[in-house]
Amino acid sequence: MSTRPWINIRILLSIATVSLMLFAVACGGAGATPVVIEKEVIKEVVKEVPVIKEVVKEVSKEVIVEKEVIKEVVREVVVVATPAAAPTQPPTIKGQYGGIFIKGEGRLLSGFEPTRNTCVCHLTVMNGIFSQVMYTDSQTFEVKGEIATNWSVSEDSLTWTFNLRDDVKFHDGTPLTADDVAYSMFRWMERPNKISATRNAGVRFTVESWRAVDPTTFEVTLKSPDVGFMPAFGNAFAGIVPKHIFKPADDEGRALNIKDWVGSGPFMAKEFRKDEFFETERNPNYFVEGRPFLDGVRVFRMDSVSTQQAAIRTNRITMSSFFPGWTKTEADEIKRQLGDEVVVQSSMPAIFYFMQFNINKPPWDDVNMRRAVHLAIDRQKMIDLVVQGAGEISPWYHWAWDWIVPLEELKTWEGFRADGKEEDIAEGKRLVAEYTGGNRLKVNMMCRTIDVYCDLGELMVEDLRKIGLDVTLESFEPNAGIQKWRRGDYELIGGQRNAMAYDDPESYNASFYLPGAGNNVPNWENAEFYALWLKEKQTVDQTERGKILRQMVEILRTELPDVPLIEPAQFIVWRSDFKGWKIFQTANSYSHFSDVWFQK
Amino acid sequence: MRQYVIRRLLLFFPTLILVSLIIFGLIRVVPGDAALAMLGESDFSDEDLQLAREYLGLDSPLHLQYINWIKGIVTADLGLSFQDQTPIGPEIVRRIPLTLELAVLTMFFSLVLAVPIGVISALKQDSWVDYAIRSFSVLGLTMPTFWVGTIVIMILSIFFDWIPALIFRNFWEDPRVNFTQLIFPALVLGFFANAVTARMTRAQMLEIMRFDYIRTARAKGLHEQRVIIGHALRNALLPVTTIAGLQFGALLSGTVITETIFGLPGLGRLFVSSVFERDYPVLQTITLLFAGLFLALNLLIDLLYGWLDPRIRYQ
Repeated sequence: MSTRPWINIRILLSIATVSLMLFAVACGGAGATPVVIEKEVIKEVVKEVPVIKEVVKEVSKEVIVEKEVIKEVVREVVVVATPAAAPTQPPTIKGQYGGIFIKGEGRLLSGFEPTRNTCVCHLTVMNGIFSQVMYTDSQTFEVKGEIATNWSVSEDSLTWTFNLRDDVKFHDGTPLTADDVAYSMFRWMERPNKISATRNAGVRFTVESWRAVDPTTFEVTLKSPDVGFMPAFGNAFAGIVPKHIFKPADDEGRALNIKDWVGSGPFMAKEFRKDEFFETERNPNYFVEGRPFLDGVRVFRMDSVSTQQAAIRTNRITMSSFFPGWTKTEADEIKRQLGDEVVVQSSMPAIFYFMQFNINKPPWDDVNMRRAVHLAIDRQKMIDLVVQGAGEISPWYHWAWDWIVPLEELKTWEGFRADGKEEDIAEGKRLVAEYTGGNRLKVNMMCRTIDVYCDLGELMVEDLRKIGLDVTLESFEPNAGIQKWRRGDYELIGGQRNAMAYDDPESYNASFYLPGAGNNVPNWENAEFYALWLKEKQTVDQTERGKILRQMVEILRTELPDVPLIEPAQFIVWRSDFKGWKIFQTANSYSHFSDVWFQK
Repeated sequence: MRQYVIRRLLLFFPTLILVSLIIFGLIRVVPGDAALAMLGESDFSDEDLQLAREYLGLDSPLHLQYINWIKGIVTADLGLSFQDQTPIGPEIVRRIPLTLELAVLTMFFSLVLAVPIGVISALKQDSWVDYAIRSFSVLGLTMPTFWVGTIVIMILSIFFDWIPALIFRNFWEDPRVNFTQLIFPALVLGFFANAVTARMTRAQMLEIMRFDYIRTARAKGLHEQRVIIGHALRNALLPVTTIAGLQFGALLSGTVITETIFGLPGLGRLFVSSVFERDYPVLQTITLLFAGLFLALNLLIDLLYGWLDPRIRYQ
């Protein structure tokens, strides 16, 4: 039998050398060079737009605000407004023709039917196929016309009339008429073929009836004057579908596939391979002259950021994933390696993290306990540790809307402030002690194992311990977790994420704070809030509207049905020969690749 | 022998029916909801959820859902995916060649490398060669495939400014591109599979080389090569065959991470995305397919035993 040692110094040295080499390769092996990231800071630009406004006051009626009768509140103010209506001209761009734009994406959609689609992952592709009557500008939040040349509203603010271009054709050559717009609206409203049309809920909220007046005139009548109608009608999922293709399929209950995805946008659906790629090609008959510049757009599914980095490095793809965007570290790394070969930009896409209480269960039915939690959470720590410093504290509405609450002011409020955190924690501790009689309290928090939800949860566990709450963090597989949450089978849900359905505060209200709203799982209701909402949704003037929304924020701040946490920045990287692209302001922005090109 | 094979084949059907019932039941018992997955993270109401359930047919009684599924399998109409309403049959058929090719290539690299180095390691026990081979095997076992895959992609892109083509090409479409797309994932997977097989081969060889019949063979004056290959290795390969068979089965179903890193649209990737999306029809069908494959592989391995060891007789 051999008595030689199992291992000797030579073997040990060999293993150590190999391990070091692999480690060096894994770490990229580059020196720590300072990196400059081109960062685009998004700011809301308020433009003075001429608005004809009439205000009819009905002040003699008494407003009874009681929780039991909140849906009976009498309308106090009726605003009649006619927004400036001007046809949108394509910007003059001297782009170069040709080339296929290729993108890696963390998730590949299962389809591009605008009504069925629920994900913001590939809006740029879907929007490229299906044109819309109206759209919300991804840079300014202005609602503009795409197929609509002009539009007007009746004196009572109830009937909107849209005049449509007469030169728009679907990809199969059939002219697009008001009848197609009416059928698209029918699909959002009546949901034939069991379509959920979740992204068009805003339209359902506001629209009473609609009709095609003639081939180029479309008319919508609202239930009541509503400032949220136009952003909802211009949301990025409001693509116009061809009636002659979609109606027979809906009538038969047939599922639609790539052959049916016939729109009127700058690109036509070409090939779709599940889990692999989706490809569109240039529409030679696009109604905007001279567009698009690109020959086509191809999107590959690339779950792994490392693979995306390798593909950008080797010029296999032009742009990194929108959903999810890269983290700061990932973007820094590629910039360090490739320098001027790539452009890195960041935006705050209005995808925000929040924590929700089950206000129907103790102790969260006590507003003081909710306040204690709000006070204890260290949001700056979340930004520093979870998103590597690239993010902002999240208010109740989008942070860029400083006409509601300026971000700088928000940062001085209790709970949000970095200076004075000790005082907030002490107050939180006092509130918990008051509730528990000085004892520590055990509570459960759930998080879903997706993105950074549970990382945020871990930090909150640490924060809440400081005020006397011993939190057990339970993690759930994403789908199972969302089921549990929607059933109301939770106490606290931490690090949940959401985005607006469309770029307007109305989207937040409709999503979170109104009775029956999809994300208002614990059914929080507040009569005063509801009354203000009725008033706010009829107020066109932004300053006035901002004041009302601020009052609504004050209610949310006091009642705390949920606690906003942070908004992460997302980083997008593209090859620098790709020109004309502007990073969108919010994840649900309407955008397509008609104005971009490759510099040869 | 023939009777044995027929009997085993007949057992396939009750086994598959049992498996189908277990799959169908388990998928519906686990928390989560296909309708929720379909609606995603959008802002939806309970009415939307109900509509989605009706659309997916989840509102019909469970036994009807099961019967419809089985009826579809028997009539070769596998139905539509919940996720995107595309036909399931063609999607699975499209992915089978890639998955099979990757599994075969991986097994090729694994066995071609593992068996010789396992034998050498055993023959040179406790020498530096043995230590090197064992270290290499341990490295393969300890380094996760997703990490090795990522490193390979990084090395290719950083040092060679190249990565495989993004659109997958089948062997019969473009053999060269197909080879470049599969060689690296196969090497990565083979690195792990090789470690297991090499260690098993070494252990078996060490044991068998001490048996009396090996000494007898040497005493008869047989050439050492004949002793090792004809007498020792053939017997050592019995458990190695079992391991290789199981590895092959696992490769058919469990290469999702490597497929993800290398962007390959294989069955494993489809399976995992179906789990997350609660795409019940796809999930059920693939699981049943995997169950059938495992049954077939087990039968094949059992038959191989008889060929490798003539003492084994089937009745």
